[in-house]
Amino acid sequence: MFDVPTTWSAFLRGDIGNWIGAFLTLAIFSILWKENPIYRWCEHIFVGSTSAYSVVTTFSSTIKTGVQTNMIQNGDWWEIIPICLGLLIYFQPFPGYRWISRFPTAYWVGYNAGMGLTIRTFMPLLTYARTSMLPLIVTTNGAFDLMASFNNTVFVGSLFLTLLYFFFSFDFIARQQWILSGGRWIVMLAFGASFGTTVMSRISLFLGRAEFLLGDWLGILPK
Amino acid sequence: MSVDRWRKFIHMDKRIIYLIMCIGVVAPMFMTFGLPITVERPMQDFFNVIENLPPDSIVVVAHEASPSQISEFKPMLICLMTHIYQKGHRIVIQSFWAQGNALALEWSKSAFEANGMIYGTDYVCVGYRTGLTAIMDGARTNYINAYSDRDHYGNTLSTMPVMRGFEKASDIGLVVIFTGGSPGVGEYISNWQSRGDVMNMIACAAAVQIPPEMVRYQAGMLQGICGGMSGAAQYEKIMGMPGSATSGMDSQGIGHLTIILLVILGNIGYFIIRNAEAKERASRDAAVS
Repeated sequence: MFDVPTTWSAFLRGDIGNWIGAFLTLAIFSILWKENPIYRWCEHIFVGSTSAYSVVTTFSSTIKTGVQTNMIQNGDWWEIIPICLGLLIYFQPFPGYRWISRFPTAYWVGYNAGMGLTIRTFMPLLTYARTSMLPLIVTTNGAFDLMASFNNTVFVGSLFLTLLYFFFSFDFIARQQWILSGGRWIVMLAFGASFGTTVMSRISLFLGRAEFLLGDWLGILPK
Repeated sequence: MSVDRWRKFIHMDKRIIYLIMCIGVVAPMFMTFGLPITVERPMQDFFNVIENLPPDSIVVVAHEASPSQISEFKPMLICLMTHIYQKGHRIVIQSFWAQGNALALEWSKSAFEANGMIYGTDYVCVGYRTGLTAIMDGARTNYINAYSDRDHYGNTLSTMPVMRGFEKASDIGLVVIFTGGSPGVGEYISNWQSRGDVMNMIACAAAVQIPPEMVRYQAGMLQGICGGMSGAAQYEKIMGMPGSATSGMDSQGIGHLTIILLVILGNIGYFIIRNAEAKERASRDAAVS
């Protein structure tokens, strides 16, 4: 049996937690009416508690665990080197020694640039390029598949128009303006789809809060 | 409606719009319409990937989420945990978002209790770590060492039955990524999939993340997507476990209809006012000349 401690958060699952949650939720919603000090106060609580949670969690789960297990128990004392390198960043506030803080920054920038150029950008880009090369005439079980062919044609056409829309190396003459216009339409359609899912997401967020207020707090939602 | 009324409508106080939206979303919570839910292909693929996994696979649930995503991710997690457990796989929860692990455990609690799932045997939470690239890179050769052999609560990972035979990332059968932003799917693809360690990846995406994840799905990087509350409702339908997402879809539907209606009315008003102003201008110019 493994240890799963009951934290004080269990205490907050009852009525007291609901009342605090309801007050904070309504206070944050009050910005919809107008700017007010209670909203500002709750916003500060939110920012402060989130930052504190991150600091404590990072310390207890990464730094403490790493030092206890890796260094003391496993004897991996070499890990003191990256720790010292990381601590150099705290020379930042001292103008005379600020140059020392550039060492960890330089290491981090170099490391991320290398990773970014290879696995983060180049490899996904190759996959996108490969999967974009679709056949315009599709056959399924030997027969012409009209729907799949239409879909692929729309996809490839949209891809070309969008790429050309962002091609700035030469001016399009009047007869070629339809390319720019087509590209703009495709981009606008994509923005529209993105806006639609954003609305959906925001409604979901509100729904979560409404369920909490009407269900968990007031208990008036039908079961 | 006269042009002046349209002008008033166009310049309506935004608080009235908030009120209309609020009524549109809350009212269906009291009167259920039961709008139809259709299982779409990305969701069906998502389901099939779990169905077709070899028995006793390791499924990593990467819960990259924050508390605001409760209405979308909680129903997904309940269905997902039940589904994975019923198929006889083992669950390893991880997150690179500070609150992700605790939220995954809290939101999945009802599924763990309903199925009698045992911590350490059926599922484990390895906890939060900073330094995503270093951890994921380390996990490619030794997953337990990358997590300093400690779980979310400080227990020893290597002695847990759930971790048997799980040494490195390539032992993972499937990664299910809950994505509410960054880090998210992109980091798992670049660190594990692009390097050939884990090829099976599916995503539970917050609605706002659906467009970028859909591109990855079409490119074959993701094998399935459960997107937004609509995806959660579809998952509940396939699993036969109607819950908060199914009931929430009525509110979603009416909320969307309200916005569509307001957009249409706003556009009608805009064109009517523009035409009226053009006519006024023309008659003024005619009077001057």
